[in-house]
Amino acid sequence: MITVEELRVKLGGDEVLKGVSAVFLGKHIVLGPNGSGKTTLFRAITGLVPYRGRIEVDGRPLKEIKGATGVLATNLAEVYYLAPVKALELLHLFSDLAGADPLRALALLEELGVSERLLGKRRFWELSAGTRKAFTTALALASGARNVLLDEPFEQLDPAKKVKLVGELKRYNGVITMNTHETWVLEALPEWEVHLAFEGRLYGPIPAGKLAGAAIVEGKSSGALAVIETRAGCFSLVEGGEGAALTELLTLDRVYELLTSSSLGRGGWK
Amino acid sequence: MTLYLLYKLKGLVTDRSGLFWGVAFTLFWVLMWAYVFTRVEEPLPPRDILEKMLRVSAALAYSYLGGLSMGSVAVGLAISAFASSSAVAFATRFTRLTPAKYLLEDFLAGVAAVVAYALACVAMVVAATYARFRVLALPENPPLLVAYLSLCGVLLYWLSRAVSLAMLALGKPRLPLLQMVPLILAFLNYATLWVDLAERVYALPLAPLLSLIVSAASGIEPATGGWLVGGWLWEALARGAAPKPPNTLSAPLALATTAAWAAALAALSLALARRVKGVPLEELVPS
Repeated sequence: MITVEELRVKLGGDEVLKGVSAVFLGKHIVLGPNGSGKTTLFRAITGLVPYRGRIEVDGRPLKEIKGATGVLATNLAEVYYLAPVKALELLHLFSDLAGADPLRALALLEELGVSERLLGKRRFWELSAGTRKAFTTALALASGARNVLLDEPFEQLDPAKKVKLVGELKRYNGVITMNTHETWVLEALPEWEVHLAFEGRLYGPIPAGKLAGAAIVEGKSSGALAVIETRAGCFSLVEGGEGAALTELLTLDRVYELLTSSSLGRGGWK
Repeated sequence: MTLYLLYKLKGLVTDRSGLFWGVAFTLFWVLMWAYVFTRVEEPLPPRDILEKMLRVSAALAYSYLGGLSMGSVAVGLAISAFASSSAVAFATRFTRLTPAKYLLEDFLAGVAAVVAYALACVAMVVAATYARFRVLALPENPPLLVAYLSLCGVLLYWLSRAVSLAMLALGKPRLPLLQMVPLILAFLNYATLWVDLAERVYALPLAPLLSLIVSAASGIEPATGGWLVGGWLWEALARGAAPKPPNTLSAPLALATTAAWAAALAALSLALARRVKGVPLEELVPS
Protein backbone atom coordinates (compact mmCIF):
# COMPACT_ATOMS: atom_id res chain seq x y z
CA MET A 1 0.00 0.00 0.00
CA ILE A 2 1.23 3.47 -0.89
CA THR A 3 -0.13 6.52 0.91
CA VAL A 4 0.56 10.09 -0.12
CA GLU A 5 -0.77 13.03 1.84
CA GLU A 6 -0.61 16.72 0.94
CA LEU A 7 2.26 15.93 -1.42
CA ARG A 8 3.87 18.98 -2.96
CA VAL A 9 6.78 18.98 -5.41
CA LYS A 10 8.50 22.04 -6.88
CA LEU A 11 10.75 21.65 -9.90
CA GLY A 12 12.61 24.63 -11.32
CA GLY A 13 10.45 27.02 -9.33
CA ASP A 14 7.15 25.58 -10.61
CA GLU A 15 4.83 23.66 -8.32
CA VAL A 16 4.31 20.42 -10.24
CA LEU A 17 2.32 18.62 -7.53
CA LYS A 18 -0.07 20.82 -5.57
CA GLY A 19 -1.08 18.97 -2.43
CA VAL A 20 -1.85 15.48 -3.76
CA SER A 21 -3.45 12.97 -1.40
CA ALA A 22 -4.25 9.36 -2.36
CA VAL A 23 -4.07 5.77 -1.17
CA PHE A 24 -2.94 3.16 -3.68
CA LEU A 25 -4.12 -0.24 -2.54
CA GLY A 26 -5.12 -2.66 -5.28
CA LYS A 27 -4.95 -1.77 -8.97
CA HIS A 28 -4.89 1.89 -9.96
CA ILE A 29 -4.59 4.01 -13.05
CA VAL A 30 -3.39 7.60 -12.86
CA LEU A 31 -4.90 9.05 -16.01
CA GLY A 32 -3.94 12.50 -17.17
CA PRO A 33 -2.54 14.55 -20.03
CA ASN A 34 1.18 15.13 -20.52
CA GLY A 35 2.59 17.57 -17.99
CA SER A 36 -0.07 16.87 -15.37
CA GLY A 37 2.46 15.62 -12.80
CA LYS A 38 1.93 11.84 -13.20
CA THR A 39 5.59 10.94 -13.58
CA THR A 40 6.64 13.47 -10.94
CA LEU A 41 4.25 11.72 -8.53
CA PHE A 42 6.06 8.43 -9.22
CA ARG A 43 9.46 10.08 -8.90
CA ALA A 44 8.45 11.46 -5.51
CA ILE A 45 7.19 8.06 -4.32
CA THR A 46 10.46 6.43 -5.39
CA GLY A 47 12.48 9.09 -3.57
CA LEU A 48 13.99 10.73 -6.65
CA VAL A 49 12.76 14.29 -6.14
CA PRO A 50 12.55 16.50 -3.05
CA TYR A 51 9.00 16.85 -1.73
CA ARG A 52 6.89 18.23 1.07
CA GLY A 53 4.07 16.22 2.62
CA ARG A 54 3.92 12.57 3.62
CA ILE A 55 4.72 9.44 1.64
CA GLU A 56 4.40 5.99 3.18
CA VAL A 57 5.05 2.64 1.56
CA ASP A 58 3.50 -0.33 3.36
CA GLY A 59 3.00 1.91 6.41
CA ARG A 60 6.67 3.01 6.57
CA PRO A 61 7.68 6.63 5.92
CA LEU A 62 9.67 6.77 2.68
CA LYS A 63 12.58 8.59 4.32
CA GLU A 64 13.10 5.69 6.73
CA ILE A 65 13.26 2.98 4.06
CA LYS A 66 16.76 1.68 3.33
CA GLY A 67 17.84 -1.57 1.65
CA ALA A 68 14.28 -2.98 1.57
CA THR A 69 13.69 -5.61 -1.14
CA GLY A 70 10.25 -6.74 -2.32
CA VAL A 71 8.62 -3.47 -1.22
CA LEU A 72 8.50 -1.32 -4.34
CA ALA A 73 9.50 -1.63 -7.99
CA THR A 74 9.11 0.78 -10.86
CA ASN A 75 9.76 1.04 -14.58
CA LEU A 76 11.17 4.58 -14.42
CA ALA A 77 14.23 4.32 -16.68
CA GLU A 78 16.58 6.36 -14.54
CA VAL A 79 16.50 3.89 -11.64
CA TYR A 80 18.08 1.18 -13.81
CA TYR A 81 21.24 3.00 -14.86
CA LEU A 82 23.36 1.55 -12.07
CA ALA A 83 26.44 0.64 -14.09
CA PRO A 84 27.51 1.27 -17.70
CA VAL A 85 27.25 -2.37 -18.77
CA LYS A 86 25.24 -4.33 -21.36
CA ALA A 87 21.47 -4.40 -20.82
CA LEU A 88 21.53 -8.15 -20.12
CA GLU A 89 24.13 -7.68 -17.39
CA LEU A 90 22.03 -4.87 -15.97
CA LEU A 91 19.05 -7.23 -15.92
CA HIS A 92 21.06 -9.77 -13.91
CA LEU A 93 22.46 -7.08 -11.63
CA PHE A 94 19.06 -5.62 -10.86
CA SER A 95 17.51 -9.06 -10.41
CA ASP A 96 20.27 -9.90 -7.95
CA LEU A 97 19.84 -6.68 -5.97
CA ALA A 98 16.03 -6.55 -6.00
CA GLY A 99 15.44 -10.28 -5.57
CA ALA A 100 13.74 -10.47 -8.98
CA ASP A 101 13.58 -13.59 -11.12
CA PRO A 102 15.76 -12.96 -14.20
CA LEU A 103 14.20 -15.84 -16.14
CA ARG A 104 10.74 -14.39 -15.53
CA ALA A 105 11.97 -10.99 -16.72
CA LEU A 106 13.47 -12.54 -19.87
CA ALA A 107 10.26 -14.49 -20.58
CA LEU A 108 8.23 -11.28 -20.24
CA LEU A 109 10.63 -9.45 -22.52
CA GLU A 110 10.37 -12.22 -25.10
CA GLU A 111 6.58 -11.78 -25.01
CA LEU A 112 7.06 -8.05 -25.56
CA GLY A 113 9.30 -8.75 -28.53
CA VAL A 114 12.69 -8.06 -26.95
CA SER A 115 15.26 -10.82 -27.41
CA GLU A 116 17.96 -11.82 -24.93
CA ARG A 117 20.46 -11.56 -27.79
CA LEU A 118 19.69 -7.86 -28.31
CA LEU A 119 20.11 -7.18 -24.59
CA GLY A 120 23.47 -8.93 -24.63
CA LYS A 121 24.71 -6.69 -27.44
CA ARG A 122 23.66 -3.22 -26.33
CA ARG A 123 24.05 -1.05 -23.31
CA PHE A 124 20.85 0.11 -21.61
CA TRP A 125 20.94 3.64 -23.02
CA GLU A 126 21.68 2.27 -26.49
CA LEU A 127 18.26 0.56 -26.59
CA SER A 128 15.40 2.30 -28.39
CA ALA A 129 12.93 4.15 -26.15
CA GLY A 130 10.29 1.44 -26.69
CA THR A 131 12.69 -1.42 -25.89
CA ARG A 132 13.93 0.43 -22.85
CA LYS A 133 10.36 0.81 -21.64
CA ALA A 134 9.66 -2.90 -22.19
CA PHE A 135 12.92 -3.76 -20.40
CA THR A 136 12.13 -1.72 -17.30
CA THR A 137 8.49 -2.81 -17.19
CA ALA A 138 9.48 -6.48 -17.39
CA LEU A 139 12.05 -6.05 -14.62
CA ALA A 140 9.55 -4.22 -12.41
CA LEU A 141 6.95 -6.97 -12.85
CA ALA A 142 9.51 -9.78 -12.42
CA SER A 143 10.58 -8.28 -9.10
CA GLY A 144 7.41 -9.57 -7.47
CA ALA A 145 7.40 -6.44 -5.28
CA ARG A 146 4.30 -5.73 -3.21
CA ASN A 147 3.95 -2.31 -4.88
CA VAL A 148 4.70 -1.59 -8.53
CA LEU A 149 4.68 1.83 -10.17
CA LEU A 150 4.45 1.73 -13.96
CA ASP A 151 5.04 4.93 -15.89
CA GLU A 152 3.34 4.83 -19.32
CA PRO A 153 3.97 1.07 -19.74
CA PHE A 154 2.08 0.89 -23.07
CA GLU A 155 4.12 3.61 -24.74
CA GLN A 156 5.41 2.51 -28.17
CA LEU A 157 3.99 -1.02 -27.89
CA ASP A 158 2.04 -2.43 -30.82
CA PRO A 159 -1.60 -3.47 -30.18
CA ALA A 160 -0.85 -7.22 -29.81
CA LYS A 161 1.84 -6.53 -27.20
CA LYS A 162 -0.46 -4.11 -25.39
CA VAL A 163 -2.97 -6.96 -25.02
CA LYS A 164 -0.25 -9.26 -23.64
CA LEU A 165 0.85 -6.63 -21.15
CA VAL A 166 -2.73 -6.02 -20.02
CA GLY A 167 -2.95 -9.76 -19.27
CA GLU A 168 0.24 -9.60 -17.21
CA LEU A 169 -1.02 -6.60 -15.25
CA LYS A 170 -4.31 -8.34 -14.48
CA ARG A 171 -2.50 -11.44 -13.23
CA TYR A 172 0.00 -9.56 -11.07
CA ASN A 173 -0.42 -10.39 -7.41
CA GLY A 174 0.29 -7.05 -5.75
CA VAL A 175 -0.49 -3.35 -5.81
CA ILE A 176 -0.05 -1.80 -9.23
CA THR A 177 -0.29 1.91 -9.91
CA MET A 178 0.07 2.75 -13.56
CA ASN A 179 0.03 6.13 -15.19
CA THR A 180 -1.01 6.84 -18.74
CA HIS A 181 -2.66 9.46 -20.92
CA GLU A 182 -4.35 6.83 -23.13
CA THR A 183 -8.07 6.35 -22.50
CA TRP A 184 -8.45 2.86 -24.07
CA VAL A 185 -7.17 1.37 -20.80
CA LEU A 186 -10.50 2.28 -19.17
CA GLU A 187 -12.22 -0.37 -21.27
CA ALA A 188 -9.36 -2.87 -20.99
CA LEU A 189 -9.13 -2.66 -17.20
CA PRO A 190 -12.70 -1.77 -16.09
CA GLU A 191 -12.29 -3.05 -12.53
CA TRP A 192 -9.30 -0.79 -11.77
CA GLU A 193 -9.59 2.46 -9.82
CA VAL A 194 -8.79 5.66 -11.71
CA HIS A 195 -7.26 8.86 -10.37
CA LEU A 196 -7.50 11.67 -12.89
CA ALA A 197 -4.44 13.92 -12.94
CA PHE A 198 -4.73 17.52 -14.07
CA GLU A 199 -2.25 20.33 -13.45
CA GLY A 200 -0.68 18.82 -10.35
CA ARG A 201 -3.90 17.64 -8.70
CA LEU A 202 -5.54 14.20 -8.45
CA TYR A 203 -9.31 13.60 -8.74
CA GLY A 204 -10.95 10.34 -7.77
CA PRO A 205 -10.72 7.43 -7.33
CA ILE A 206 -13.41 6.48 -9.84
CA PRO A 207 -13.95 2.92 -11.16
CA ALA A 208 -12.51 2.64 -14.69
CA GLY A 209 -15.69 0.91 -15.88
CA LYS A 210 -17.73 3.99 -14.98
CA LEU A 211 -15.30 6.38 -16.63
CA ALA A 212 -15.27 4.26 -19.78
CA GLY A 213 -18.89 5.26 -20.34
CA ALA A 214 -18.50 8.85 -19.15
CA ALA A 215 -18.73 11.97 -21.26
CA ILE A 216 -17.08 15.35 -20.92
CA VAL A 217 -19.24 18.39 -20.49
CA GLU A 218 -18.16 21.98 -20.01
CA GLY A 219 -18.62 23.60 -16.62
CA LYS A 220 -19.85 22.13 -13.35
CA SER A 221 -22.53 19.46 -13.55
CA SER A 222 -24.45 18.15 -10.57
CA GLY A 223 -23.99 14.43 -10.04
CA ALA A 224 -20.78 14.42 -12.04
CA LEU A 225 -18.17 11.70 -11.43
CA ALA A 226 -15.60 14.47 -11.23
CA VAL A 227 -15.47 18.22 -11.70
CA ILE A 228 -12.09 19.37 -12.91
CA GLU A 229 -10.68 22.88 -12.87
CA THR A 230 -7.96 23.68 -15.38
CA ARG A 231 -6.23 26.83 -16.64
CA ALA A 232 -8.24 26.46 -19.85
CA GLY A 233 -11.58 26.11 -18.08
CA CYS A 234 -13.74 23.84 -15.96
CA PHE A 235 -15.32 20.57 -17.13
CA SER A 236 -17.27 17.68 -15.64
CA LEU A 237 -17.24 13.97 -16.31
CA VAL A 238 -20.77 12.65 -16.32
CA GLU A 239 -22.14 9.17 -16.79
CA GLY A 240 -24.24 8.85 -19.92
CA GLY A 241 -23.98 12.57 -20.70
CA GLU A 242 -24.34 14.17 -24.09
CA GLY A 243 -20.74 15.36 -24.45
CA ALA A 244 -17.78 13.69 -26.05
CA ALA A 245 -17.14 10.23 -24.66
CA LEU A 246 -13.89 10.10 -22.69
CA THR A 247 -12.70 7.01 -24.53
CA GLU A 248 -13.27 8.68 -27.89
CA LEU A 249 -10.56 11.22 -27.07
CA LEU A 250 -7.96 8.40 -27.26
CA THR A 251 -5.63 10.55 -25.18
CA LEU A 252 -6.40 12.99 -22.38
CA ASP A 253 -4.14 15.57 -24.01
CA ARG A 254 -7.11 16.30 -26.26
CA VAL A 255 -9.12 17.69 -23.35
CA TYR A 256 -7.21 20.97 -23.70
CA GLU A 257 -7.93 20.98 -27.41
CA LEU A 258 -11.63 20.73 -26.61
CA LEU A 259 -11.51 23.33 -23.84
CA THR A 260 -9.88 25.91 -26.08
CA SER A 261 -11.89 24.98 -29.16
CA SER A 262 -14.24 27.64 -30.48
CA SER A 263 -16.94 25.01 -31.12
CA LEU A 264 -17.62 24.42 -27.44
CA GLY A 265 -21.17 24.24 -26.38
CA ARG A 266 -22.51 24.43 -22.86
CA GLY A 267 -24.11 21.03 -23.12
CA GLY A 268 -20.98 19.20 -24.19
CA TRP A 269 -18.76 18.50 -27.15
CA LYS A 270 -19.59 16.53 -30.19
CA MET B 1 33.10 -9.92 -5.11
CA THR B 2 29.46 -8.87 -5.46
CA LEU B 3 27.74 -8.45 -8.79
CA TYR B 4 27.50 -4.68 -8.33
CA LEU B 5 31.24 -4.31 -7.72
CA LEU B 6 32.02 -6.62 -10.65
CA TYR B 7 29.75 -4.83 -13.15
CA LYS B 8 30.73 -1.37 -11.97
CA LEU B 9 34.39 -2.24 -12.45
CA LYS B 10 33.69 -3.89 -15.79
CA GLY B 11 31.72 -0.86 -16.95
CA LEU B 12 34.55 1.49 -16.00
CA VAL B 13 37.35 -0.48 -17.63
CA THR B 14 35.39 -1.19 -20.83
CA ASP B 15 33.94 2.30 -21.24
CA ARG B 16 34.78 3.47 -24.77
CA SER B 17 35.71 7.02 -23.87
CA GLY B 18 37.76 5.72 -20.91
CA LEU B 19 39.59 3.30 -23.21
CA PHE B 20 40.29 6.05 -25.70
CA TRP B 21 41.63 8.62 -23.23
CA GLY B 22 43.08 6.16 -20.71
CA VAL B 23 44.74 3.75 -23.15
CA ALA B 24 44.84 4.90 -26.80
CA PHE B 25 45.65 8.55 -26.03
CA THR B 26 48.17 7.51 -23.37
CA LEU B 27 49.76 4.98 -25.72
CA PHE B 28 50.36 7.75 -28.24
CA TRP B 29 52.29 9.76 -25.65
CA VAL B 30 54.12 6.66 -24.41
CA LEU B 31 55.38 6.05 -27.97
CA MET B 32 56.27 9.71 -28.33
CA TRP B 33 58.19 9.48 -25.05
CA ALA B 34 60.06 6.32 -26.02
CA TYR B 35 60.77 7.10 -29.67
CA VAL B 36 60.90 10.90 -29.92
CA PHE B 37 61.62 12.49 -26.55
CA THR B 38 64.10 9.90 -25.23
CA ARG B 39 67.41 10.54 -27.01
CA VAL B 40 70.51 8.53 -26.19
CA GLU B 41 73.53 9.94 -28.00
CA GLU B 42 76.63 8.05 -29.10
CA PRO B 43 78.88 6.96 -27.56
CA LEU B 44 76.52 4.96 -25.39
CA PRO B 45 77.21 4.95 -21.65
CA PRO B 46 78.12 1.66 -19.95
CA ARG B 47 75.27 -0.84 -19.90
CA ASP B 48 74.49 -0.51 -16.17
CA ILE B 49 74.32 3.30 -16.42
CA LEU B 50 72.16 3.13 -19.55
CA GLU B 51 69.77 0.74 -17.80
CA LYS B 52 69.53 3.05 -14.79
CA MET B 53 68.88 6.07 -17.02
CA LEU B 54 66.18 4.20 -18.92
CA ARG B 55 64.61 2.99 -15.68
CA VAL B 56 64.37 6.61 -14.46
CA SER B 57 63.05 7.73 -17.85
CA ALA B 58 60.42 4.98 -17.79
CA ALA B 59 59.48 5.84 -14.20
CA LEU B 60 58.96 9.48 -15.17
CA ALA B 61 56.89 8.34 -18.15
CA TYR B 62 54.52 6.04 -16.35
CA SER B 63 54.19 8.33 -13.38
CA TYR B 64 53.32 11.49 -15.27
CA LEU B 65 51.65 9.89 -18.31
CA GLY B 66 49.95 7.52 -15.86
CA GLY B 67 48.67 10.67 -14.17
CA LEU B 68 46.95 11.64 -17.41
CA SER B 69 45.55 8.13 -17.78
CA MET B 70 44.27 8.13 -14.21
CA GLY B 71 42.78 11.60 -14.72
CA SER B 72 40.86 10.23 -17.71
CA VAL B 73 39.47 7.39 -15.60
CA ALA B 74 38.46 9.89 -12.97
CA VAL B 75 36.49 11.81 -15.61
CA GLY B 76 34.76 8.51 -16.47
CA LEU B 77 34.07 7.96 -12.77
CA ALA B 78 32.52 11.42 -12.47
CA ILE B 79 30.30 10.90 -15.52
CA SER B 80 29.26 7.45 -14.33
CA ALA B 81 28.48 8.70 -10.80
CA PHE B 82 26.48 11.56 -12.27
CA ALA B 83 24.52 9.32 -14.66
CA SER B 84 23.73 6.72 -12.01
CA SER B 85 22.65 9.16 -9.30
CA SER B 86 18.92 8.39 -9.61
CA ALA B 87 19.55 4.66 -9.84
CA VAL B 88 21.63 4.78 -6.69
CA ALA B 89 18.98 6.82 -4.84
CA PHE B 90 16.41 4.16 -5.71
CA ALA B 91 18.61 1.09 -5.26
CA THR B 92 19.82 2.08 -1.80
CA ARG B 93 16.18 2.39 -0.72
CA PHE B 94 14.45 -0.49 -2.47
CA THR B 95 17.12 -3.14 -3.12
CA ARG B 96 19.60 -4.86 -0.85
CA LEU B 97 22.29 -2.40 -1.92
CA THR B 98 22.27 -0.37 1.29
CA PRO B 99 23.96 3.06 1.33
CA ALA B 100 26.94 1.63 3.27
CA LYS B 101 27.36 -1.27 0.81
CA TYR B 102 27.06 1.08 -2.13
CA LEU B 103 29.69 3.49 -0.78
CA LEU B 104 32.12 0.66 -0.09
CA GLU B 105 31.63 -1.25 -3.35
CA ASP B 106 31.57 1.85 -5.54
CA PHE B 107 34.73 3.10 -3.86
CA LEU B 108 36.52 -0.23 -4.35
CA ALA B 109 35.45 -0.44 -8.01
CA GLY B 110 36.54 3.15 -8.65
CA VAL B 111 39.96 2.74 -7.03
CA ALA B 112 40.50 -0.60 -8.79
CA ALA B 113 39.67 0.98 -12.17
CA VAL B 114 42.13 3.83 -11.61
CA VAL B 115 44.88 1.37 -10.58
CA ALA B 116 44.09 -0.90 -13.55
CA TYR B 117 44.51 1.96 -16.04
CA ALA B 118 47.70 3.12 -14.28
CA LEU B 119 49.17 -0.41 -14.41
CA ALA B 120 48.25 -0.59 -18.11
CA CYS B 121 50.27 2.61 -18.55
CA VAL B 122 53.22 1.06 -16.63
CA ALA B 123 53.04 -2.01 -18.91
CA MET B 124 52.91 0.16 -22.06
CA VAL B 125 55.97 2.18 -21.00
CA VAL B 126 57.95 -0.95 -20.07
CA ALA B 127 57.02 -2.57 -23.38
CA ALA B 128 57.86 0.55 -25.43
CA THR B 129 61.21 0.97 -23.65
CA TYR B 130 62.05 -2.68 -24.29
CA ALA B 131 60.96 -2.42 -27.93
CA ARG B 132 63.30 0.51 -28.55
CA PHE B 133 66.30 -0.19 -26.27
CA ARG B 134 66.03 -3.92 -25.43
CA VAL B 135 66.12 -2.93 -21.77
CA LEU B 136 63.49 -4.23 -19.37
CA ALA B 137 62.86 -1.14 -17.24
CA LEU B 138 60.87 -2.80 -14.48
CA PRO B 139 59.99 -0.79 -11.35
CA GLU B 140 62.50 -0.94 -8.51
CA ASN B 141 59.88 -1.38 -5.78
CA PRO B 142 56.63 -2.80 -7.26
CA PRO B 143 54.65 -3.12 -3.98
CA LEU B 144 55.36 0.51 -3.07
CA LEU B 145 54.50 1.58 -6.62
CA VAL B 146 51.13 -0.20 -6.42
CA ALA B 147 50.52 1.34 -2.97
CA TYR B 148 51.13 4.86 -4.35
CA LEU B 149 48.96 4.16 -7.41
CA SER B 150 46.19 3.00 -5.07
CA LEU B 151 46.50 6.27 -3.15
CA CYS B 152 46.15 8.09 -6.49
CA GLY B 153 43.00 6.01 -6.99
CA VAL B 154 41.59 7.02 -3.61
CA LEU B 155 42.32 10.69 -4.22
CA LEU B 156 40.92 10.70 -7.75
CA TYR B 157 37.85 8.70 -6.69
CA TRP B 158 36.88 11.34 -4.16
CA LEU B 159 37.73 14.14 -6.58
CA SER B 160 35.49 12.62 -9.26
CA ARG B 161 32.71 12.11 -6.71
CA ALA B 162 32.93 15.71 -5.50
CA VAL B 163 32.84 16.89 -9.13
CA SER B 164 29.78 14.81 -10.05
CA LEU B 165 27.90 15.84 -6.91
CA ALA B 166 28.80 19.48 -7.51
CA MET B 167 27.33 19.12 -11.01
CA LEU B 168 24.13 17.74 -9.49
CA ALA B 169 24.04 20.43 -6.78
CA LEU B 170 24.38 23.13 -9.42
CA GLY B 171 21.46 21.55 -11.24
CA LYS B 172 23.29 21.61 -14.55
CA PRO B 173 23.34 18.16 -16.15
CA ARG B 174 25.74 19.28 -18.85
CA LEU B 175 28.85 20.98 -17.58
CA PRO B 176 31.65 19.53 -19.67
CA LEU B 177 34.36 21.73 -18.16
CA LEU B 178 33.49 20.77 -14.58
CA GLN B 179 33.51 17.05 -15.31
CA MET B 180 36.97 17.46 -16.91
CA VAL B 181 38.50 18.81 -13.68
CA PRO B 182 40.42 15.54 -12.91
CA LEU B 183 42.04 15.57 -16.36
CA ILE B 184 42.85 19.29 -16.10
CA LEU B 185 44.50 18.55 -12.76
CA ALA B 186 46.51 15.72 -14.34
CA PHE B 187 47.76 18.09 -17.06
CA LEU B 188 48.74 20.66 -14.40
CA ASN B 189 50.72 17.95 -12.65
CA TYR B 190 52.34 16.98 -15.94
CA ALA B 191 53.74 20.51 -16.07
CA THR B 192 55.74 19.86 -12.89
CA LEU B 193 58.11 17.78 -15.01
CA TRP B 194 59.53 21.14 -16.12
CA VAL B 195 58.48 23.42 -13.27
CA ASP B 196 59.85 23.04 -9.75
CA LEU B 197 57.14 24.25 -7.40
CA ALA B 198 59.35 23.72 -4.33
CA GLU B 199 57.24 23.59 -1.15
CA ARG B 200 54.16 24.83 -3.05
CA VAL B 201 53.87 21.37 -4.59
CA TYR B 202 52.26 20.12 -1.36
CA ALA B 203 49.24 22.33 -2.09
CA LEU B 204 48.62 20.62 -5.42
CA PRO B 205 46.70 17.33 -5.09
CA LEU B 206 48.30 14.42 -6.93
CA ALA B 207 51.65 16.11 -7.80
CA PRO B 208 53.49 14.91 -4.65
CA LEU B 209 52.19 11.37 -5.25
CA LEU B 210 53.49 11.34 -8.83
CA SER B 211 56.92 12.29 -7.54
CA LEU B 212 56.77 9.49 -4.97
CA ILE B 213 55.84 7.07 -7.78
CA VAL B 214 58.97 8.08 -9.71
CA SER B 215 61.00 7.47 -6.58
CA ALA B 216 59.43 4.07 -5.84
CA ALA B 217 59.88 2.94 -9.43
CA SER B 218 63.42 4.23 -9.99
CA GLY B 219 65.00 4.24 -6.55
CA ILE B 220 66.06 7.90 -6.77
CA GLU B 221 65.14 10.67 -4.35
CA PRO B 222 61.77 12.31 -5.01
CA ALA B 223 61.85 15.91 -6.27
CA THR B 224 59.31 18.70 -5.82
CA GLY B 225 59.32 19.07 -9.61
CA GLY B 226 61.56 20.28 -12.42
CA TRP B 227 62.77 16.78 -13.27
CA LEU B 228 63.68 17.70 -16.82
CA VAL B 229 65.30 21.10 -16.23
CA GLY B 230 68.72 22.09 -14.93
CA GLY B 231 70.40 18.83 -15.90
CA TRP B 232 70.72 17.66 -12.27
CA LEU B 233 69.04 14.35 -13.02
CA TRP B 234 70.64 13.15 -16.24
CA GLU B 235 74.12 14.50 -15.56
CA ALA B 236 74.32 12.66 -12.24
CA LEU B 237 72.97 9.47 -13.79
CA ALA B 238 75.48 9.71 -16.65
CA ARG B 239 78.29 9.96 -14.07
CA GLY B 240 76.91 6.91 -12.31
CA ALA B 241 76.09 9.03 -9.24
CA ALA B 242 72.82 9.21 -7.29
CA PRO B 243 70.89 12.31 -8.48
CA LYS B 244 70.25 14.93 -5.80
CA PRO B 245 67.22 17.11 -6.60
CA PRO B 246 67.49 20.85 -5.88
CA ASN B 247 64.42 20.47 -3.65
CA THR B 248 63.78 17.05 -2.19
CA LEU B 249 60.17 16.07 -1.59
CA SER B 250 59.36 14.97 1.93
CA ALA B 251 57.51 11.64 1.64
CA PRO B 252 55.71 11.91 5.03
CA LEU B 253 54.57 15.45 4.25
CA ALA B 254 53.49 14.40 0.75
CA LEU B 255 51.45 11.51 2.15
CA ALA B 256 49.93 13.75 4.84
CA THR B 257 48.83 16.40 2.32
CA THR B 258 47.44 13.69 0.01
CA ALA B 259 45.47 12.23 2.93
CA ALA B 260 44.23 15.72 3.80
CA TRP B 261 43.08 16.32 0.20
CA ALA B 262 41.33 12.93 0.05
CA ALA B 263 39.63 13.54 3.41
CA ALA B 264 38.51 17.04 2.38
CA LEU B 265 37.11 15.80 -0.93
CA ALA B 266 35.37 12.87 0.79
CA ALA B 267 33.82 15.23 3.35
CA LEU B 268 32.69 17.59 0.58
CA SER B 269 31.20 14.66 -1.34
CA LEU B 270 29.29 13.37 1.66
CA ALA B 271 28.01 16.87 2.46
CA LEU B 272 26.88 17.38 -1.14
CA ALA B 273 25.31 13.90 -1.28
CA ARG B 274 22.87 14.96 1.43
CA ARG B 275 21.73 17.94 -0.63
CA VAL B 276 21.25 16.52 -4.09
CA LYS B 277 18.94 14.13 -5.90
CA GLY B 278 19.52 12.32 -9.15
CA VAL B 279 18.73 13.48 -12.66
CA PRO B 280 16.40 11.68 -15.07
CA LEU B 281 18.11 9.57 -17.71
CA GLU B 282 16.62 11.53 -20.57
CA GLU B 283 18.48 14.66 -19.41
CA LEU B 284 21.82 12.96 -19.86
CA VAL B 285 23.93 12.79 -22.96
CA PRO B 286 25.31 9.26 -23.39
CA SER B 287 29.10 9.27 -23.36
